[in-house]
Amino acid sequence: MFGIIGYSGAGKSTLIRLINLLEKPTSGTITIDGHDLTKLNERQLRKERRNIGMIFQHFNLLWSRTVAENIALPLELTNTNKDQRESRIAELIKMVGLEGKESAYPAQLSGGQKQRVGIARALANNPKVLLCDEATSALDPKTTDSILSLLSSINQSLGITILLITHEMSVIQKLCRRVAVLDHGCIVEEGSVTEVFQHPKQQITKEFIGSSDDGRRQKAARLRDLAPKRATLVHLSADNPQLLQKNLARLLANTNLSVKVLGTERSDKDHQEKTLLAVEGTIHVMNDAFAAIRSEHAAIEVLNSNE
Amino acid sequence: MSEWLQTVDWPGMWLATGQTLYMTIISGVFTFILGIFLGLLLYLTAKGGLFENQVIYGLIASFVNTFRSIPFIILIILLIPFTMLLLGTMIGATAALPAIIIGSAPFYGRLVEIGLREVDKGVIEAAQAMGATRWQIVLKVLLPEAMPALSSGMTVTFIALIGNTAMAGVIGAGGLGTIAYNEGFQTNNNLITFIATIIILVIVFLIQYIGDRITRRVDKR
Repeated sequence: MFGIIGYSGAGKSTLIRLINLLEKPTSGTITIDGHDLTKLNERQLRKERRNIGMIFQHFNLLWSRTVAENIALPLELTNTNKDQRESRIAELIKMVGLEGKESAYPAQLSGGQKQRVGIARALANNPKVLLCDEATSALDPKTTDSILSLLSSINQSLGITILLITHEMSVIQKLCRRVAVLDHGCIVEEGSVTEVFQHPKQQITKEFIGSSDDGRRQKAARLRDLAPKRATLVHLSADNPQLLQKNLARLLANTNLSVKVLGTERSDKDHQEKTLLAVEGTIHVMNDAFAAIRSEHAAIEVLNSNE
Repeated sequence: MSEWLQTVDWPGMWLATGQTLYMTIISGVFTFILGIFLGLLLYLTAKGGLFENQVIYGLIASFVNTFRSIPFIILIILLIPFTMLLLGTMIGATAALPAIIIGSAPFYGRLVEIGLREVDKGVIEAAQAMGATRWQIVLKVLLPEAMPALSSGMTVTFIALIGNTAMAGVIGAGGLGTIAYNEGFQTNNNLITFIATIIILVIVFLIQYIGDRITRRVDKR
């Protein structure tokens, strides 16, 4: 698995689209598995493209076709007979975990499910390479994780080379062995993910690492350093801002407790933004106060315990 | 009231309704086929299209624009020699068909072109990335994905067609237009004109209803 990271406009999409010649290069060559794609005629190129699967940020499914029919499209293009087509579709549906959704239309699916259809479709003709063009950028963090682990299992079980482009360092971190950093159309840094992470050379690479999970954890650690030594750290969250305000005010008004608002941070558990508080006081008062908040439709979660 | 209604020549009225439906349906079918063909040609040969070709695009576009801008009543007269050549007559429902089709197909062709343009470029790109040939893209991606637009466009075209059949009636095509003009307007019998109009309205409402249902059925967005 190879990852390419860069900001919008760095040329990531152009680079990945060059690989299957959706974008024609003005000079240079593109070699996949020993074949120079730029030297092929239209027919040979079409044949070669069948060995290169591609998934897209906006899925690009045919909304006029059901899930099964969408996956069937690449098989129809190669004139696979009906029986083989059906057994292959069943296999793919199982692989991406969409059993029972065969006759649903894309409009009835969630983003994550749509991308699973995209993945199944891309794998239908057993490609050697899978190109992922910002495949998770339109998905929420939780769905992103599930799609990434699907890609990773495909990479391992089928032995397909996966090339992905993204602007999120966390995606690279979770999946890739090697990474290239793209800036203004040039690869400015390239190497194994661990090496690049530990010793980033370019400023832009450092910026990406700063925005990744590690970076966020460092920022969170700094936030927590502001807490008094013996304080209990809690995450406060509620369904709406008014409810959060109300409960925060209640907590601050409690004269038996000393409460300090440290800031907001993203929870590792459910990836939601939560208010981080440092609370000092006796354990009984604290537990009573927390119980009162929980009964008021807000959530409070104790992160550390000094007892 | 009922006595009044008995003065109407009902068998003649129903015959005319049949002629109007005949002209509408036959010219509708041809307009559909010809319009899809013209629309596809416009879309595919346009700049950046799958079969980009400025010469063909220029020819088709000027053909479409010319026939769309000629008023229908003048088009019928202009096409008399062509109809004579094709059918040997210029009177009757069948003789009205060439003019109706040539008047409507370019209109529908433009609607088809617009519908095709609205197909998501990403989907076409995905098909290209799968190794689809250009014809496979047309048949398996473009036309099915544009289906709701093709269907709602055809509904609009059908209704415009009925107007044209009525106008063709004035020069002897038969149908409700002829009755409304010859027996209604020229003999100052407003009842006949009124009834012919009501029947045309019913046909229009029916077509709109059926068209809407089909469009809703093919639209899976």
